[in-house]
Amino acid sequence: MNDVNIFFLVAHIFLGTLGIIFLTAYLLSIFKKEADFKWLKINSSLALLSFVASWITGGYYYTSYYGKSVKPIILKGEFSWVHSVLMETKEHVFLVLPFLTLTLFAVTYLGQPDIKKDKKLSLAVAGLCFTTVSVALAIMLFGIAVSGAVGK
Amino acid sequence: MGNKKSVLSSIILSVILTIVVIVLLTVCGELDAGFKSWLTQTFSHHWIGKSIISVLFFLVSVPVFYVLNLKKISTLSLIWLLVAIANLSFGVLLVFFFFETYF
Repeated sequence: MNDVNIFFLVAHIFLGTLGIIFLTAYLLSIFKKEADFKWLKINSSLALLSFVASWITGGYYYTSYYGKSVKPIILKGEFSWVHSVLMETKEHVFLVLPFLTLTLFAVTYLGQPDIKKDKKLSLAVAGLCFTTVSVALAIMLFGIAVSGAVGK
Repeated sequence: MGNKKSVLSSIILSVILTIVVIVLLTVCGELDAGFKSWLTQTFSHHWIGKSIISVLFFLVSVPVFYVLNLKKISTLSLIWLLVAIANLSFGVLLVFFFFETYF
């Protein structure tokens, strides 16, 4: 693997993890008695930027290196299902993640007065954030499994 | 606020439909080899094709839903519908690839 691919793989993992951290911070903030909208806006913006950047860097690594060099090794090994089930799910669910984060970003910026007043709405936003974090964590775990399956 | 609500409803509804499109593109691509190879030939990689189509679909559907003026649809219902669709899409894709692998 050349330096460019290593850079894109590391950036993909780092940015994806950052996105999860920002969304977790968002989730903790929205449950506060007096939600601080400055931090909700900052966390949703940074989470969106992180996931979009992780999408682009991961996409570059996947299309330029993974498919040609890593996928054949996993498919020949004992844990071929890790690619055919987990990686296939991961690569397609990853397309959904930036859209979910974009919704959270839009709701935070456009629905601010309503979220403050309406407890039901703030609970729904927390539910959306929890789903997004859960999906992102599942994708992360699938990525760890894929890394572990190489050469086994 | 009414204008903001229309924009928000358009975005949430567009995201819901975009997720449905992503799942359909994925399942159709796996079931129809011709469609997957068309995606690969047109966009250099099927994954890039699905990414571009989903982004374009979203960008087109937001103004369309905005023009349709969806103020009457509750934001609360749309958010919970999105949560359900997001969870369902994850489950559908995981189960689909499991069945594709083993059956």
